[in-house]
Amino acid sequence: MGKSDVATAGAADFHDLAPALAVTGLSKSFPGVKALDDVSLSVRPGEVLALLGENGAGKSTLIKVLAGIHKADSGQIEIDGVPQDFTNPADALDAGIKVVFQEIALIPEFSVAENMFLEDHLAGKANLVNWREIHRRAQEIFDRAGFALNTRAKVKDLSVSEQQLVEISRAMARDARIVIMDEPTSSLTPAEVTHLFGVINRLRKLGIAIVYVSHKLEEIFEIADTCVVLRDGRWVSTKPTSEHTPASLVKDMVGREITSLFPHSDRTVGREIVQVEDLSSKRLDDISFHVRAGEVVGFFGLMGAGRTEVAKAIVGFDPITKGRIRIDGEDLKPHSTVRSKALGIGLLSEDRKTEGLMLDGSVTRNMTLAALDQFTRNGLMDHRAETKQAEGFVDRFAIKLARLGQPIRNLSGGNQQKVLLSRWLMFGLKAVVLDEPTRGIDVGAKAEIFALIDELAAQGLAVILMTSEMPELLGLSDRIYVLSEGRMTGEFTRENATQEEILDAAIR
Amino acid sequence: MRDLTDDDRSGALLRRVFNSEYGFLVVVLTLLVVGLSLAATNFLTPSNAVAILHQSSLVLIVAVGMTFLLITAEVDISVGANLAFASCVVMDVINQTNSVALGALAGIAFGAGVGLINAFVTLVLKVNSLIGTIAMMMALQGGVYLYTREAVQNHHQIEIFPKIATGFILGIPVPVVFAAVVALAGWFYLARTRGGRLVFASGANEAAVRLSGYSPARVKFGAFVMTGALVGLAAVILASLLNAGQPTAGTGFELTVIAAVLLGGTSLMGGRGTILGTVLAVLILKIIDNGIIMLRWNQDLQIIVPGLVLILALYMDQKKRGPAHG
Amino acid sequence: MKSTHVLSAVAIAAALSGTTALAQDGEGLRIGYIVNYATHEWYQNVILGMEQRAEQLGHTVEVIDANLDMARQVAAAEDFMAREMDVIIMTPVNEEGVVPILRRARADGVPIVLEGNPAPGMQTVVAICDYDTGYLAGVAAGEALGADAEGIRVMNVGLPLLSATILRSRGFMDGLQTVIPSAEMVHDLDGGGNPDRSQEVSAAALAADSDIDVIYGINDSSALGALQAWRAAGLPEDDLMVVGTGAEGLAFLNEMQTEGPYQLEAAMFPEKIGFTAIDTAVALFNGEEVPEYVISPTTALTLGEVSSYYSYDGESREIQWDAVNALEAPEQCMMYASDL
Repeated sequence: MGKSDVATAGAADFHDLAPALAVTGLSKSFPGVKALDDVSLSVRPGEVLALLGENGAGKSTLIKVLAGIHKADSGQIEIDGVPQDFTNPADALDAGIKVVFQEIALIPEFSVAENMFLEDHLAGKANLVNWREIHRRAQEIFDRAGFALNTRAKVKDLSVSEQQLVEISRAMARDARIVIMDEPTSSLTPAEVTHLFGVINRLRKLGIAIVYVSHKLEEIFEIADTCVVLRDGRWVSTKPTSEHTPASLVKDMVGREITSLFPHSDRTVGREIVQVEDLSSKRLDDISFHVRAGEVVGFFGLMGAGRTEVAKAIVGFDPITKGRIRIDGEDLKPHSTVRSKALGIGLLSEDRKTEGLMLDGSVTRNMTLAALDQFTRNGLMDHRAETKQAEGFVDRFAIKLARLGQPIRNLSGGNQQKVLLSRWLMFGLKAVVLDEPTRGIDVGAKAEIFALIDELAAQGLAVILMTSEMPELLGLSDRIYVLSEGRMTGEFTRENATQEEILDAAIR
Repeated sequence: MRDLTDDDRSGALLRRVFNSEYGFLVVVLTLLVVGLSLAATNFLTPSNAVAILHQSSLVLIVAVGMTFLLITAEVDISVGANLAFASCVVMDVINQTNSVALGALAGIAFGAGVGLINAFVTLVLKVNSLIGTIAMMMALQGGVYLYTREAVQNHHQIEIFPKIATGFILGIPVPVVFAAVVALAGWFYLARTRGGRLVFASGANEAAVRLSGYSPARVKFGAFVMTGALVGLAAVILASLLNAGQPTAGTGFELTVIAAVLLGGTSLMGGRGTILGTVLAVLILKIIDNGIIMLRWNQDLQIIVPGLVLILALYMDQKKRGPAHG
Repeated sequence: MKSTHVLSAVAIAAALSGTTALAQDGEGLRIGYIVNYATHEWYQNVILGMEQRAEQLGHTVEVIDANLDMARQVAAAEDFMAREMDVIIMTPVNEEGVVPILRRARADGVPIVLEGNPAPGMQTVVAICDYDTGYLAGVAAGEALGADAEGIRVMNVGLPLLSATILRSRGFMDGLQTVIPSAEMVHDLDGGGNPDRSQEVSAAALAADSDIDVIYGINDSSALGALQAWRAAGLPEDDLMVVGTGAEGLAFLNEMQTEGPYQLEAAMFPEKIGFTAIDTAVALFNGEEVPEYVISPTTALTLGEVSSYYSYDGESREIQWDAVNALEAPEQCMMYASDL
């Protein structure tokens, strides 16, 4: 990975240049919240600036102000030294700022080239579209940037990373000077991430300034020249990446020292709780593994490797075609969630919104969903007992909320995840499956979830952890299984696991 | 933590009433009652109150079932056609057996049977319930004519049968008693039982309910069959009221029922709704209906005004909930 | 029995193959009737009357239901014309909609008899007089109440959508007032012509003002729905008089036989309309002089009189042709839709 080459190559040109984009003293308030408070930063041509901060730090607001979606209350935006006044997104585009949002805004049924010239191609002579010219210009941009894209392919047939390239090309088609990328790697595979970094490096060589927003610290250290950290809408620090360590970045973001991200207490491993033999389904092929009480077992795999499929199969949510699942010695038959719950295994889904939360439901109702039977007498709910239990869990996990009756929608991701974990702990499981438990959660809350996982194992639960985050996997797991394309391709103990070997198994 | 303090903030009384759960409905109902009392001297009389309750009972009985269904994020468009068909079944079975009880049971069983098929189509065949029950509506509308081309008359002229709809218990019309019992039972179930909790949860997030070790399909199955059975009960009352089974009855009935449930604050997306809201909404719609006749306005307004009220209600609801969704 | 089976088989085969020649035992006419809405009891009885009359005369009637669909009605007419039916009878779904068919039929020399409603360019229409029907019932009601009755208050369960039903309501009031000039209409309701709607609107109206002596319904369903509303309101039935219109099916018979407030029926004899339509069709085919408006008789019936026009066994009714045919139809209606 040519990290050092890239960094030096970039470093050589841009330091003496005048900023392409300079933001000074930007403030923006929404009713009741100061989203941005006197924020300043600048990016030079060819520089990659990482914008960091927890959820609610003000990153999104800043991006939206730069994209012309929100109007700042005060402060100044300059492009190449010229003050700007954006009243709508078109102004920002015209001034040379292009934002590649997480949700890609392309028209699936249109071709790549058509999407690139969406705003322009109606302005031709006599309102006629000059298709040949459009495809020629698209190809020219691809050649310049080194993208292997077919201008005539339909966008809906492209992968997410290819669609990002189309978005970036769209920026180049409009001669954008500044490209802002909002969490661009959140749905990319490692290979695609590597490819994206190649693209970013080509863009910086073309003198384009890049603002890169991400949660993933490894990525920042690999690609960014400079780090700007925001917290609670305020600017915290601006430093060259080389002067940061992961710990110092986290400290700037969270505002306090996090001593150990991955606590690992001594615990006694007991009997086998989960035993899976020859499990096969539509997407899984002959998976066998076991998990003991008091053990955290990590499952690693690239996107589509089958982690979520294993998770959903062993709790009876997805059907299986073959195999035997036993929970504490009892067969999971019939293959249903009703049975799996009775046997004492439950899943915390990776998709909080669609498979976990009742967004408009109160915190209490969300928390007690699995344990309703405990509060039922002759079919009637005992609301008082229910509230009391919920209060206990709120205290125990330091869940931040205004009151138990508020809709869970208004809680932060980390607090929502704690509520969902409480759902199972309240019921009382022998084994819990956690599928990407820290997805979309702040660094600070992540640390708390990690501590909680450790605590659960210490209390004797069998914990199955599905994750695509290498540090999380290595930091938490006692043992590691690796999946690739629905097959089991490796098993490691905590002691003999290395990142290289795990990745090797993951692409096997 | 920013948008949690809204409801703690004190404000004008009216504003607070308006923003409470049933605020809008209570305000509309009050305005209607006060306005109509002033405009029509005969509005605020015991006999008119009885008439309004009587009119509300058929809609309310089915609306209770529909509230359950909408909370589970399903819908049944076939209730109007089911009502017409079931009323013919009630009358026909009474004619065949000479027994009002058997006729009533047959009607309820028929309605529940239709609900069962709706449940099967939605939950097993995985056809969207909106489309599946429209298909069922068409099948029933056509099917009833295969069953009978004309209204089924009370051949034996059983005296007791028309009394179901026109009789009184302690001065309260019998259908109102039925509706009150159904609404109370529905309210109690939703508010106080574990099953009620699962009705909400199944609509709010089906996958979450399944992952929590319950069967949302079973919950929805119950809601479909219950709605069907309540249509059957309504059909008994309708047949009694008309002293005949009417294959042409019930046109637009499903719209009135669904409009009432939505007006009552139940979400079309599932997960939210109350029986009390439905009761208030049914009363509002029927008072509007009644008031238009009282004021001797053009009766075409009986269709237009509820439509406008519904739009207003959904708009108010959205506005009230709007900030939380941002 | 056997021969009719063979006949109908031949008829079906001929219809399917689209051949124009149809085996008939000699002289009988082939008459096609396009009904607008066969589901309704009224039209079923119209068809019944047609079939009975046609059989008497040795003709055959084939019925197609337009089911309230103008396009279907046009298609049915084209089908009949292609198959060279001798005469076509139709109840227009829409008066304007049938104009092109009438024009084409005239060009092709196919005689057409309309039933119910006249249309521009028609040769003849067979219909009852709606105003007269209401008027006769009004007079009969007035006589039953007694000319010296004072302050008679009427609830009209009408259907303001159609001119025919407006005429009935107006005729009823006019007829009633010729006997009791002080009679007044207290409620003028839109019952939609169906029992459930009539029941609903009547309930509200009665709640507003239940001091009513006479309920008039523009059809049987309207009258019955209103009567049920009366009962649901718990009002005394002793001094109420309910007057229905149409004598469409069995419901009014059932109600009248209880000897309750449903005392009077403005009978329109749908069977007789069918009967008259066939006679008119045959006359038209034979080139006889036919008036533009052929009127089918109506009359008001009390319970005592009903049995001489309809025999009833609780399951079905049978029209008594002798009595019905003895009724005199007027030369002209007292009021037409065009007079409104």
